[in-house]
Amino acid sequence: MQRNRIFICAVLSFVTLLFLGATLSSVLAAEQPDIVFATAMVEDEDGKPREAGIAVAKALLKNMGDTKLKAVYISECFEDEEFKTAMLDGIKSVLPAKLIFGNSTYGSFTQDGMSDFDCVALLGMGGKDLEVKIALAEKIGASKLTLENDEAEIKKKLEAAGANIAKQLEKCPNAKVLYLAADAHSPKNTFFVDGIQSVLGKKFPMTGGSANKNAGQTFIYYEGKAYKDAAVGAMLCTKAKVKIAMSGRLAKDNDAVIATAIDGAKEALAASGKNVLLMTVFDCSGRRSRLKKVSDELVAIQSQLGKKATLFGCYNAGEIGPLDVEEKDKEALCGGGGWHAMFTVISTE
Amino acid sequence: MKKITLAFILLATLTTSALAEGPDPVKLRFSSLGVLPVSLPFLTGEVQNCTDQAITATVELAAPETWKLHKNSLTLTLEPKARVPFAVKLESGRNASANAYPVTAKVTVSGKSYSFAQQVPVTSAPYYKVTADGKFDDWKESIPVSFTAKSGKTTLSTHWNRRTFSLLFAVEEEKLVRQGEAEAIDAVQFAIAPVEGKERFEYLVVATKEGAQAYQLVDPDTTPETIAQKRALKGLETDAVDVVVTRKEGVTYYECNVSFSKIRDYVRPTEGREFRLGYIVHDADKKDVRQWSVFMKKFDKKPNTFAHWLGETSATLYDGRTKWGMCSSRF
Repeated sequence: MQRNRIFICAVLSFVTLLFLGATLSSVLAAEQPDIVFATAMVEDEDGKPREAGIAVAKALLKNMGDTKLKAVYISECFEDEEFKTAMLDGIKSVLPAKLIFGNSTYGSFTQDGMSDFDCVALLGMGGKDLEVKIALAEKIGASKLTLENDEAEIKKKLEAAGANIAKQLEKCPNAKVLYLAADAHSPKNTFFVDGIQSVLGKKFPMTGGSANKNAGQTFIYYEGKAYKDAAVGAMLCTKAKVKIAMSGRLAKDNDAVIATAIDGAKEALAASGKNVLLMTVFDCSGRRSRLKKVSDELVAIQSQLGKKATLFGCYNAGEIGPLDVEEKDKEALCGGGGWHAMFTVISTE
Repeated sequence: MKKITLAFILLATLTTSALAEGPDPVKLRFSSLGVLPVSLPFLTGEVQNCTDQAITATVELAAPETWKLHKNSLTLTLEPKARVPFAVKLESGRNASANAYPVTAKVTVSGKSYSFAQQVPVTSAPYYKVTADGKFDDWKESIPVSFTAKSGKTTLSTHWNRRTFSLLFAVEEEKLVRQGEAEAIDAVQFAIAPVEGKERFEYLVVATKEGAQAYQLVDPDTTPETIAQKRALKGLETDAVDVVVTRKEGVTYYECNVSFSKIRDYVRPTEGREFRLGYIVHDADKKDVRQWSVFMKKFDKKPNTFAHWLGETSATLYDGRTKWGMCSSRF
């Protein structure tokens, strides 16, 4: 009898534990959405861009685990269209072309390190609770114009391009943050952002970068194809309760770049939830060039973020995010500028 | 334009004479700009106290009308014989096609004023791929720097990409003395080095009867003793520099593509990086060595700055190193 009572108690306890466990799991499941971000980066040391593309794509799939990809942001700095095309072909032999968007940059960094030489980095976005809608604006017509001679025309064309992208994406339900890449180097990117804000409003969170502006190296990627004189936007949408925290910092010398990397990361993380899903950093190639040791900025960011959370950064010819300048539109959350590191943290409680 | 420049220099010289007598207690020079004025670089330079006494110097700066400096006046305290750098940010600025910006400084010490005038260029190589073929269509986006020495004018244009550093020397001269035509020959000698450190890669390019030839005079393993020797060029030939020499309307063009393959570990070919570039032009028949560093008003004479070789035109050489930048394409 005593033994039976003990047995019954044990069974009840077990059932209770199971129930509590299941309840706890369901609570956790409700709080922790199925959203996965992962990165991969490969530097091509052998002059084999296609192989580098295959390698980075396979590494991304491995890092995503069982999660199905919804979109892939590409930041690449191979030199010349021939090498870029071969690298992209390698990626597309592994990943669906339709998911790939992004731009040519001046280099990338992840938790695994930084590279600014024949390198490709991918940011994979996936999970049942995440939807990503991607839009392209092509034949913008501003890439060959100069601010000295054609400011009015540049403004008109880039505002139109920004509005075009925003109109394609504005009806996404549960839109949380917009990622952007454009052939519009600083300060042209100001007009592009103005165009987007004319549709989405001045408070909508957006971040991104301007494509590498070196002669023959400027490309925007959409559905796995390379475009010139274009811009792309990817809207991240989810019903889940995710926080979007942003900060931006401007700096032009070694010590300031390091100090602002710490400050910017700290500010964005302070406004984030406990569970950091992703930190993106759209950084200026000029900031990198002012560093005595090029990896110092990454080390500074890691001093705040740690080395485990998913981190995706790239060096651009202009950045979009919260501006760190006096002469800005105080009503706007974000703007287009140069010499910035733009931090965005996607997190949950 | 030339008249205006000459008048400006004359005026500056007269002003100096009018303001002070005897050896100047201070010297001042401006450095080249790292990026175009529209990108708002710092106007930098250095002031040298030439006396054995500590001095306080007030520096009043004047820049082109299209520029606005963050401040126009500085007060510097200099220990005896000390050299102090200064930097003033441009708050606004416009580019000039001539790439020579007239800047002046009036330095006042113990109530006496001394004026210094200089044409400051931007020394930066925009990203671009150039083919060394004797055609110059692919140099339109460069930022050329010019200077005029006793024997004539030299203009240097530069570009870079991940694989090569490209230089186009346009040497105005009456006659080109090719290798084999005389004991002393015409040549361009240039060195690429990291901003800090003693390592350097130094090359010589010459015209030959068949075309052109490049030589490597110095690499990071070359000893100072070897650099000081007057070496024969035979055996120093290099494939690291692809060079074409052409001559047109009194100008000799040396178009060079220098491979980054061995330099990359010392000078990283990426946007915004700086390195040091030095160059001299040997004008054999005029017995002149054109020195960029003299135009840049370098203070120091360094006789062993460049390597020696058999066939050179001898001269006392100034410190020839100038900071040079690698920037993104201009548009």
